[in-house]
Amino acid sequence: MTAVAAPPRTAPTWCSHCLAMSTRPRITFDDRGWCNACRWAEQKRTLDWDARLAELHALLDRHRRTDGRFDCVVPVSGGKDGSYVAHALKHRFGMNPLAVTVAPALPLPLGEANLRAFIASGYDHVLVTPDPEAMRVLNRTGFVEMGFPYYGWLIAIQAAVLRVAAGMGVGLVFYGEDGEVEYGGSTETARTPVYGVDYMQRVYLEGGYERVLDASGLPRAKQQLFRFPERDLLARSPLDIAHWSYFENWDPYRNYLVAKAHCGLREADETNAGTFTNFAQNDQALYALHTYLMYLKFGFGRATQDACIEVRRGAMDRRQAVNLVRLYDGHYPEEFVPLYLEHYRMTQGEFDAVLDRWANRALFEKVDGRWTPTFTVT
Amino acid sequence: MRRVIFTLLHDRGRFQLSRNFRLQAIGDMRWLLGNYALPQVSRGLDELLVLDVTRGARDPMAFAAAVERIAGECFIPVTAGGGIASLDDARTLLRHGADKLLVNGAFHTDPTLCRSLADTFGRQCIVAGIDVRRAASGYDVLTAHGTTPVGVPLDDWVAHVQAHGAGELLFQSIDRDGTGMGLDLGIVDALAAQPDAPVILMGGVGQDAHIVEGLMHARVSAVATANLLNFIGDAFLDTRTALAAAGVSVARWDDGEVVALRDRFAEAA
Amino acid sequence: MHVVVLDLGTSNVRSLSAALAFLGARHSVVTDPAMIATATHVVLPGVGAWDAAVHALDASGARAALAAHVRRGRPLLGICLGMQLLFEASEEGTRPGLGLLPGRLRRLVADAHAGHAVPHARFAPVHGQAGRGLFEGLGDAPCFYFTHSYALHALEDEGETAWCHHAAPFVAAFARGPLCGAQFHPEKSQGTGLRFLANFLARGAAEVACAA
Repeated sequence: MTAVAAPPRTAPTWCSHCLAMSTRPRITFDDRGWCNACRWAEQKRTLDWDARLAELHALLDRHRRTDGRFDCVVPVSGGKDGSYVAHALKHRFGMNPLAVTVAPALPLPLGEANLRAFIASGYDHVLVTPDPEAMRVLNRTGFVEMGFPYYGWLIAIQAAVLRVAAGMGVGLVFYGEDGEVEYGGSTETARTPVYGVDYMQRVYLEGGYERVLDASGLPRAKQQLFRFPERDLLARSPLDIAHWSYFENWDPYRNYLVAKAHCGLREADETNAGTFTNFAQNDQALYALHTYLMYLKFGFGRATQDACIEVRRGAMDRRQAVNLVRLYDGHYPEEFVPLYLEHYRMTQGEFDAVLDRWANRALFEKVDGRWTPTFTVT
Repeated sequence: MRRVIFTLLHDRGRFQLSRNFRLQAIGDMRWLLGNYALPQVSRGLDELLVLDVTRGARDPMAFAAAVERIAGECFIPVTAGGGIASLDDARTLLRHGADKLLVNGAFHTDPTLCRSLADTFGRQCIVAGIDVRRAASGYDVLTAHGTTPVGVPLDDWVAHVQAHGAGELLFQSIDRDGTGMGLDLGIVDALAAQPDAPVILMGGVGQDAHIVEGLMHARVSAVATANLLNFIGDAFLDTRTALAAAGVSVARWDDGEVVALRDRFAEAA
Repeated sequence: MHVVVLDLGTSNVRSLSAALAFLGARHSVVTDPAMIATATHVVLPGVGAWDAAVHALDASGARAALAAHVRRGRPLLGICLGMQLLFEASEEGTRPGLGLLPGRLRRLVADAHAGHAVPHARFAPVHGQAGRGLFEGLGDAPCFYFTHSYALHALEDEGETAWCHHAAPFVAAFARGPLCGAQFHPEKSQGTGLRFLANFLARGAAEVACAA
């Protein structure tokens, strides 16, 4: 199967296996019309996971401590993915993980309860809370300048987590999934276990990191938890950063089942807005805005992402996914708007003007004040 | 011929998706009827099953009204149940459009009632709900939404419910419930002998292929699914086609018939 | 047209009423058999146990009314247990049926390995009357919903008889002049069942016109 570049930007197309959309940055399709995430899911079935496991053992053996000190750091939110990784490191691989959370700006009660339950299930934990005003300013700047409504938090879950690891002399940090590889994007790290700070800044923060920090107007002293560890700190306390999804077949549904069974994870009583699931991303209100902006920019939202995961794990077929995406995708998060306006100190008009700035006119038109797709998911 | 049964889980006015017996509210009656045009979709179904899955205080009349509404949308058998604890509960459901009753907990707490239900309404009217979870070896049977073990082996429980009036047996896998990972055929394989009563299997259906797999098993008479999200629209009609293509014997009914019959005798007054 | 549905209290008459309403047939659901005298058609539904149903028939005094209706040449359709009650007796109980036709109901034989469960609860194809009489407009093997443990395995003077297969063939439906029966539930058999009911209703009207 040869990879071909995405077709020219006329009408959007969709992966013939899942519903990944041609508008997604760095997506490619093969001659069957399968996206790189589906091809990767296919490859994962025959991948030599034993070899990957051996690599994991080697990596862990290099870092494992028997003197009681922490030997790895796991960023967690209390949700299924971080909980799964922490649980695996502790109970399957005998490591001594330190779990680290960066407090989101607008936490949700269920998310806070899940985090408490996770910690109570037996983990050491550090809660990093950047100065709320600094977080607010960076979120707002990210929202306006890049259409990333919780950019401050996105920076901090990398920068601050690495700073905690380096500061405590822990040399290994495990993120969960490599989103680029799993969901259709750059495949640079598909075959690389461990990487460095530079790669993170380049790919995971969409290259806007420096720009947003400068545009924020925050004094340097307020930016500490948003800045990656300095070279001199890293020289004293080097960091190996890895994604768990390199070493083990990443399965969000499996993570949910394990977190539910062992880490006290609870689901929402109702369906989460903009999708059809209730067991993911329950920690912060800004996630709904993040996925709504993704929808406006690219034409796919949370429901599409969740549907693609379900299709790839064989729990539904593409036809069923189309029905659900048509029904649930692209939800304007009106239930959270008052929270957003207060957080950004904007009026409804200013807020909608920012959304307008990011709406892709090739995909949407404004009907009755709402951006409405001109395409039909097929 | 084998059967496909669509299960609707009702909790205080809202229909639910269940995952390992944990509920997620999806939508109310308007949502349901808006997303499932039952008069059309029912042509892809053999039966409906409507269950009251409320964990808290029940409202039997509200549930009966929901059953009535749903039953009024199509001309196929409707089974209703969940919390049936008296002949009156049963009568209420039958008066509101149910053809059969699903009984689960009463086989544990009041088997005499189950006998009475069968004697009064006929054994073919009683479907025994049997919820199972994989154990170290074999399966455990639990009632009360998967919280209370019945304390006897699976085969003994099957004999018990049949001895107390069960006409059909509905086995539901707690492990597979809502996972979309396919049915647990191990349950029917685990039965020491093929029961005389028809066997319905539920829990784990995500896509058509799972239904096909279930109905191709010699011991399975019907597959039920409560997957409220995956079959939105008229997907069950496609399921029918997939079953026929796989060589599974299922009933087919002519399209378009029903519309032509509406008010056929209206002038004959 | 006036269809009388006799409610013996042992069945779900709602679905039947809904089916008749869908077809636009003027009908009443009654417990008082005196209403039968006003009927152009009678439908006798029935679900449950034989003895209880016969008891209900007798207690209401419906036996005589039904016999009179049939003597007048007016159509009567027995459904499921209602069909069974038209005959003389059943293995299921001790009381005598209506005896409008000779015959005795026998228990279905279970043959689990061959997929013949008891109760017989499923849609099944019906053979023998393709496109004729009560089955007009329906294809070769129309599918109807069955739910029963007893059945009629033989019928004198077969005439218009349709069959279904369980471990052994049994009578799925029949017509003897105005007297009709369906072991299956036409009100629960999708559009196919509605067509069957429509054929019954249409059949009667012609005969009434002749009789008048």
